[in-house]
Amino acid sequence: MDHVDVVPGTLEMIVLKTWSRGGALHGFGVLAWLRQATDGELFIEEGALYPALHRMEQRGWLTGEWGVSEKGRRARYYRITAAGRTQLRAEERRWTSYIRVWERVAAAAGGAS
Amino acid sequence: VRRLFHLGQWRPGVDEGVEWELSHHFEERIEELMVAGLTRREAEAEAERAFGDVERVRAELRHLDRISERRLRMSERLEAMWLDVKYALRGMRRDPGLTLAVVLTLGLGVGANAAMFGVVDALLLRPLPWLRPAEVMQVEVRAPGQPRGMPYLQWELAREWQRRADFVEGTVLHNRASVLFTEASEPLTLAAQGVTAEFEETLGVQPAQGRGFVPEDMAPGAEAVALIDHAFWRNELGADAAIVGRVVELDGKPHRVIGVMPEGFKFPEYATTEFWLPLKEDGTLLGRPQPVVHAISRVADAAGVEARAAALGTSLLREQDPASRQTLGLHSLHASRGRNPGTMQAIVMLTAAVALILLVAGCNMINLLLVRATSRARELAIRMAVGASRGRVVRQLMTEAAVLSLLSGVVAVLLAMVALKAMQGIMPTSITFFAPYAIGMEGRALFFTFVVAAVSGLVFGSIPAIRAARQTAPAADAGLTTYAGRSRSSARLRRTLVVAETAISVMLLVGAALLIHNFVKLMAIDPGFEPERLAVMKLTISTARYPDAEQRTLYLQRLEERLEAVPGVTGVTLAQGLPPQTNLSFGVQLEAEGSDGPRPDQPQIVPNASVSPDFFDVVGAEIIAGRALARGDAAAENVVIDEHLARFLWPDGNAVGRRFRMGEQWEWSTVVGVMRDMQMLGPDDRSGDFEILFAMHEEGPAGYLAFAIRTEGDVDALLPRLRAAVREVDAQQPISELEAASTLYVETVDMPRFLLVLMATLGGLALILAGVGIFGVLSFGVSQRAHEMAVRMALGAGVGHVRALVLGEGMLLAAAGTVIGVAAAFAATRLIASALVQVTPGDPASYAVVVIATLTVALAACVAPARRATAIEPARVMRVQ
Repeated sequence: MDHVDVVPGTLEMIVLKTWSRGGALHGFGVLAWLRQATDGELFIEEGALYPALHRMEQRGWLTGEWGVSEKGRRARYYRITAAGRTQLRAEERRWTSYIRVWERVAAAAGGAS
Repeated sequence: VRRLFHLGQWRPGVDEGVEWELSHHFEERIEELMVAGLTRREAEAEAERAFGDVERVRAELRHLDRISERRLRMSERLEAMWLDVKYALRGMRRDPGLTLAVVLTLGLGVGANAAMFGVVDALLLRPLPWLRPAEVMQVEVRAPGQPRGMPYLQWELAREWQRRADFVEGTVLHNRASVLFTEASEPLTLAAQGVTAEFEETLGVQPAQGRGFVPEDMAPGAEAVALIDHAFWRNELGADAAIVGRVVELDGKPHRVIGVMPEGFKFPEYATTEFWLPLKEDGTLLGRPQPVVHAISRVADAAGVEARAAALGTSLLREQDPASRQTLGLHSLHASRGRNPGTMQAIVMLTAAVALILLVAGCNMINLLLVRATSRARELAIRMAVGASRGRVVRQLMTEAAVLSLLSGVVAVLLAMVALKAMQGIMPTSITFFAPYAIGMEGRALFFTFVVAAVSGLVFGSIPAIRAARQTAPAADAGLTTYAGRSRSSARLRRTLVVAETAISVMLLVGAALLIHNFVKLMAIDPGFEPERLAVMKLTISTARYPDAEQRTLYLQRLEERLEAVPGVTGVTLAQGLPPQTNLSFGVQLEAEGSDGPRPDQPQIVPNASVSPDFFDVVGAEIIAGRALARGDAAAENVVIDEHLARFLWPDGNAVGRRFRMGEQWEWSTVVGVMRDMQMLGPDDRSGDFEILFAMHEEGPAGYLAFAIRTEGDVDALLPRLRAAVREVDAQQPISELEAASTLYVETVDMPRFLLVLMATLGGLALILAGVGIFGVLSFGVSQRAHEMAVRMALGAGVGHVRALVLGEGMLLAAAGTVIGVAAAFAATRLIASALVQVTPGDPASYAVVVIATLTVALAACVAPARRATAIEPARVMRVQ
């Protein structure tokens, strides 16, 4: 399988995007969703996800809460906050414009690599 | 997901939470991998591989969570505190009377301390306005083995010190002179300080405008230059922006202003100075030689150079006089400032007094809060019953105390400002003169005020808070009953506090009464002259304006004639020194001719004056033996002395015609007459009870002179006419002081008056607080015991009986407080003894007045509660209960 590594500095944006549908997710849920959404193409070091979640919680982008999963297991659930959404939108804008610029650069260079 | 909400209360510890989260991940992952067909062992290995470094992640998570945890706890605490504050404010609004009482009481106590701090800070604590003031040392001539000496150095000696003391960082020489200044609204005699070129460098200050002195300014022929005082520039010269470079006339000679010193700069540290002028290389100031000057050196390590300073001093003094046994020493100006014994004693006494006032205020505050806590017992009980912990309730009560003390701090600052303003008029010159800073409430004093308010608020607030929380039993007090035992212990505390308050106010009042009695007796002393309808005018005859004796004599004669011609004036006399603020001779050794040398038991200071023959008539002195001074009496040869000195020198009572001297260097004087004892320094003349009157020089007296002017009618109304008369004779002649002698006479006792006004005010406040305390305790007691009173009255107890019961309780407290207060006052008289001249510290009259006043106020405080007790309608009270 072809893997794409997470570009440094984008993990948070990708993770925040997981909550587009809203709701509460635990860490494993986030991983599962991302794997499904990218057909396993995106390679995330699973261990790195958890500190990222905690950091985002500290910044007020997520709130964490203890709960019991559908399988009856104790799990920490995260929800996105208003501040998290704002952050996500800002990051998205930054990346789309970056990609747009890249495409123009690539087109000007004539597609030859 | 709904179910989450029920589990919101779960909160594992940090480490536990991390483990839960990690194990959840692995359980899910392994399960997923096993579903995909891996064996358990393979799945575990794969999960770990995909995860990465588990240990590192675990450590990172723990670290992050610990930070979150801390923040969470902090914000919870802040939130709780804010809630407490909101709750406290709500409670205070609900009971504005009590809040006001507490805030005013504590504000009063703290305010008194704040005002006192304002004084002490300006006088003693704030560093002197020089660079590293602790390094600034005065050079003194010391006798062998003496710790202190006199700061007077011969000019040549001072110069040598300046040249050869290489262990100091710089030495400035200085001396004071008065100058005539005629460019203000009226001619003024101002203070000028001559300084050498090392002035700015040694003190580490720069002029705020313009430049400082440079060595070229010190050359004998250089242009005359001056630095001016900031306040003088602002007040008298209208803050002239173009002052630097302007020429002003000092003593009639043009001086170019080269700079303005910074605001608040004082040098020397104790005196107001308008001008700093060059003390030139040749030792002259304003063209006049200065044979004796002062020296100030900057020394980083005074103790370290002591020996070298002494060695250099000894050799310098020996070079001058081979027989000299004296040496030079360094004395820190910073360490000794304000150390005027009278001032220090006043500060100690008043500091003790304001501390006591704070204690009284504290007692009252505790009392008020206890009453409130009791009336709030039910509310607290309910809060505890619904789960608030004891600590939580204490914290709530402490927050209330903190809010109260903050408000009290504001009140205290305002009160202190008002108090300092009010004190300005009566502040003794011995305090204001030595204060290197203006006395007022500024940064440091404000900080002090709020610290004292916060500390006292929390200390006094914690006692009722802890008691209230300890005494509240959730279950029992939620009902209406209060346990008698519990409220009894609280009542005992309240009574103790009232006794303490009364005792302290008695202490303060005894102090005030002693000072008042002392003052009354001081004012009743026979002055030995007639200060009523007498004016004293002081002026300095400038030798710059009247260089020769003939001119001066002529001017003074014309002035005297003109003054005599003012309608209402009946007599004028010229003198050098006049009662009640005359000249002093220090370090005298009075010795009768033919005796075995000076007696050891004599005062160091002798007030004296040089007077004209008509002095005795104009001033109202009474000759009791011999004759008054007459025209033709030689200046130092013929003298009149007072009866105390006569008896001291010649106990046989026969002084007239005999000779004495004031020390080895003095000539013998013959006593031509003895006068009735005269209070030449005012009634509080502990420093010198012996007076000597010399005959004045006939020809051309110069310098500081005084006229005594006897009037027919009101002196004060005549003062402007006298001033005008001086201007008529010479419009450029300044008057240093023109005042009614009776005003000056009272001014000499400004310290005793200041102390008594302050002590009486503080004592009065304490008594009012104690009265309020008694009133509060009794009122509350009556309302608590309404039931008992009702039963007594229902059972036939008369109105008088019930009233006596309440009165008796109140008066018992007052009596106990008075007894303790009298005993404590007696024990503390050492603090005040030195301020008392005319009464003993055990003066029975003062104690009696205080006891009567205290009991009267206590009785007044009992009346209303006693009335209320008998106004109880038995039937109604019993129905409610």
